[in-house]
Amino acid sequence: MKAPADFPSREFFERVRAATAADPAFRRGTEFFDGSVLLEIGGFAVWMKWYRGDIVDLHEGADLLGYTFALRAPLETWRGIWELPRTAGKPWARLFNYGEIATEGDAVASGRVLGGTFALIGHMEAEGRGA
Amino acid sequence: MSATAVSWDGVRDAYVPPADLRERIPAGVRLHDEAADDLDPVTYEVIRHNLWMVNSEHGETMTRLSGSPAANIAQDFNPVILLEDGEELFFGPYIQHAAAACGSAVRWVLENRGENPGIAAGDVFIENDPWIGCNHQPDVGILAPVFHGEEIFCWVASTLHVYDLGGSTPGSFCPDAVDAYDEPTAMPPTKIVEAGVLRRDLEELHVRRSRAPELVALDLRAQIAGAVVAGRRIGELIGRYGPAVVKAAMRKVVDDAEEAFGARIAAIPDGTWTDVGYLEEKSVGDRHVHRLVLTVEKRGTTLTFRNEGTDPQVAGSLNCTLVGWKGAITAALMPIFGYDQLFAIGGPLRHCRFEPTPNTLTCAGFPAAVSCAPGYAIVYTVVQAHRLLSKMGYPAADIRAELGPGGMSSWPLAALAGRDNAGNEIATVVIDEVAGGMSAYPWRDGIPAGGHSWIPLGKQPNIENNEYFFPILYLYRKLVPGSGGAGKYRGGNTFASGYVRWEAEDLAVNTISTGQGVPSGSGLYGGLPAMQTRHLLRRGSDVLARFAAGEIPADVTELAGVDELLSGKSRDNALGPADVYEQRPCAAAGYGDPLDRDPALVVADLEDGEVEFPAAAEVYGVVLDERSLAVDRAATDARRAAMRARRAAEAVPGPAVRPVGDAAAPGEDALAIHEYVALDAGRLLCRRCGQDLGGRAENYKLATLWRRLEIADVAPGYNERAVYVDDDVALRQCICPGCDTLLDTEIVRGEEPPVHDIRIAA
Repeated sequence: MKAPADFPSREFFERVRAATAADPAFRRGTEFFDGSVLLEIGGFAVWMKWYRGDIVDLHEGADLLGYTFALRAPLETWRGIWELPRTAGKPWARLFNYGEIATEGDAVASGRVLGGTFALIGHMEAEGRGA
Repeated sequence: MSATAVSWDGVRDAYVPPADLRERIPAGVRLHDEAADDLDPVTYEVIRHNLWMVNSEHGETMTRLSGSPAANIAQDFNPVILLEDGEELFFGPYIQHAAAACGSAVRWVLENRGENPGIAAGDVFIENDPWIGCNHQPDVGILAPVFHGEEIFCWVASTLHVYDLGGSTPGSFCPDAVDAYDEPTAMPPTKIVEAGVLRRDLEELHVRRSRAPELVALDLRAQIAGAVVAGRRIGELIGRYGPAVVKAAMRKVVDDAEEAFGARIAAIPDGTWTDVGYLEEKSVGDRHVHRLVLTVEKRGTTLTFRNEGTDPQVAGSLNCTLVGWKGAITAALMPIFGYDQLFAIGGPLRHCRFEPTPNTLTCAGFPAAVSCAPGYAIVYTVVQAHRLLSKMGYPAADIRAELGPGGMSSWPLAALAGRDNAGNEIATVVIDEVAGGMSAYPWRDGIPAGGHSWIPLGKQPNIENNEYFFPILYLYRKLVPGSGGAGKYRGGNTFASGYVRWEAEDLAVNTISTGQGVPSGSGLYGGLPAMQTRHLLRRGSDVLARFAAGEIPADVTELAGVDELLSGKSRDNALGPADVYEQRPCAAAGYGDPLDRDPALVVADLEDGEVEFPAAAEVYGVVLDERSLAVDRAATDARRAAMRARRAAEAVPGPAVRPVGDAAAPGEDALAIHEYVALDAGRLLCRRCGQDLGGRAENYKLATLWRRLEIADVAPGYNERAVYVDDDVALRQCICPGCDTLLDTEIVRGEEPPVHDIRIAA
């Protein structure tokens, strides 16, 4: 599988947002969370506001309000979501569990919403099917 | 209290406020007592939430001013608003086991400082006395009366863990202390601000003890500023609503929390519950374990906590005082039974009595060493109380979702000491362990590195924060798959941090922790202990050559070198330029029999990288295809049946095992007192198969099969146990003779009989 042609871009993340926000797994994983998340993908950044199981705001670039936690890695590392050898399940989970995609900011809060983050990444991966 | 001759005055024994405290307060100290009778509900809610925000602002002020990472990142402090007589109103969402500190200290001040030096508007008292009002000496208490006219209207107070306050070891956790004289000096409450003016002489006396006096002076200002802000805000509220209305709202907050807590307790049958566990290493080089017992007796809406059976206090920093013990129990009590009361702890504490045996590990008398208490007896008691109260609360179905074995069961500290290249002295703890694995619950797994229920707002510092503050360079900080205790629901996994010294003249690691050789947290209802705590030094590694080659090793095992396992109490472990230190705190224990785990959850674990493939079959009995992760249901059923049969075959019958008959499982009207045990018509029965486990008053474990295992057989890492502990310590599994379900697991020393942990009153 390859990364979608428009990854990373605002358009890509708008599609991911729609799918993620409708996903019960995301809702369950972020049900008690009120915070913001920054994804830094090389030189590209996307900021999201997660509030009680929904993604209520999203824009390109950092936000003046900062973020609760950021997930940060070079573009090539993020491409691993699609390009790591396929195994059953979530081959990309190790990128997060072992810190290859680094967490910055409130790491404890990041851990508490890991289920929601994994749901988001799952929808990013799904965008790449057929790419 | 115990019948032995003790004096609960905060000198030899910890302070216990007398029942007639108000009569003992000197006549010159006037307390504001007037409260309005007709408080309307809207005004009440406005004032209630305003007071909550006042306390939050108090905490936020300290966070912003403190220069200590333990305080401004890990939130190792707590602000409190107390009523005029020292009863707790609102406690903050920061470190919860400090719950007993300020209430005790304020009452002591009212009793002992009213005449000399007196208590007046603009005064602030400071203290760090664990026998009066803190958990250990580096926790500094600041107590400020809020006056309305000539009367004390209420108090605002805080405890805060400062950077360093002296003692034998940088950071003021003193693992080599034999008694309190080796630790930072304990200061009873002393008036450090008089009529709004900071006493320079006392400030210099306070900071002179520290290896970092400037940072301690900053912490002092952070606490005083927090109190000033909170006091001012309460004054504004009084100005807006009048003192009688504000006081009525304060009383109602406490009364409502008392009522809500009482209603939850009332739903539980009367009885007595007991938990037993072990701490390691009373002092450097000690290779024994030390017993902690916690019992709660529930009658009506009163809970009485005792520690009878706990080992005597030791010559070494393993003990805690009554202040720490009460705070630790409160820290477990509130998330289970008071979660909806905005941390209004005073009301619930009206239902609690504390009757410790003095001169024990959890109620140590002066001059016992207690500087390391939060890493040992206090955090252990939090988790022990969580387990105990979860057993007590199980019969009440409405709160069952809040129960569990507790999270990471030790607080493994690494204190760094030395100098950076600029000559700055380094003398405090790295606080990565804030991100402990979270507890499992009866309905879900624990969250990996999700933090502790007893520091709701605690944060793990960014690696960059630590690299800025300490002369170190991280190689990695990552999750450890499979480290959470196995169970029907898994405990949260832990993490590991690896770093080298960097731009330092010299640097050493001091360790303060338990759980290296013996688990500090056993599971609940058959859940298994988690991976051990470990401090590892890889000496003489090739890390610098790897850096030069442009590589950043991602695990200590990728490096050359010789391993050195550090004990839980060790000092002055010098870090050479090529030495790598790895800290790996223990994870959280599991809930329920691992063979009851839904195979779909095991598949999800593998997909998410939470456990490694071999565990699916070896621990959970789930047979699946390694590539597709498709579960073979028939093979799984067969494997689980074989694993259950093996359990029984390797066990010996307890002395009261009854014949296995063809009894049916108890019906819905039986009282569930345990995940797998019910009380029905005076008999204890297995909820699965109906096996008779004895009468109501009997220890059901005596009617089970006992399987004795090496701890390493069920919990990762404990194959290194002999490095740390000489005592004969093992794991006992209690198995239902009828269906081979794993009912309970216990850590046992020698041939101790099973703990009679559940006694439901007639």
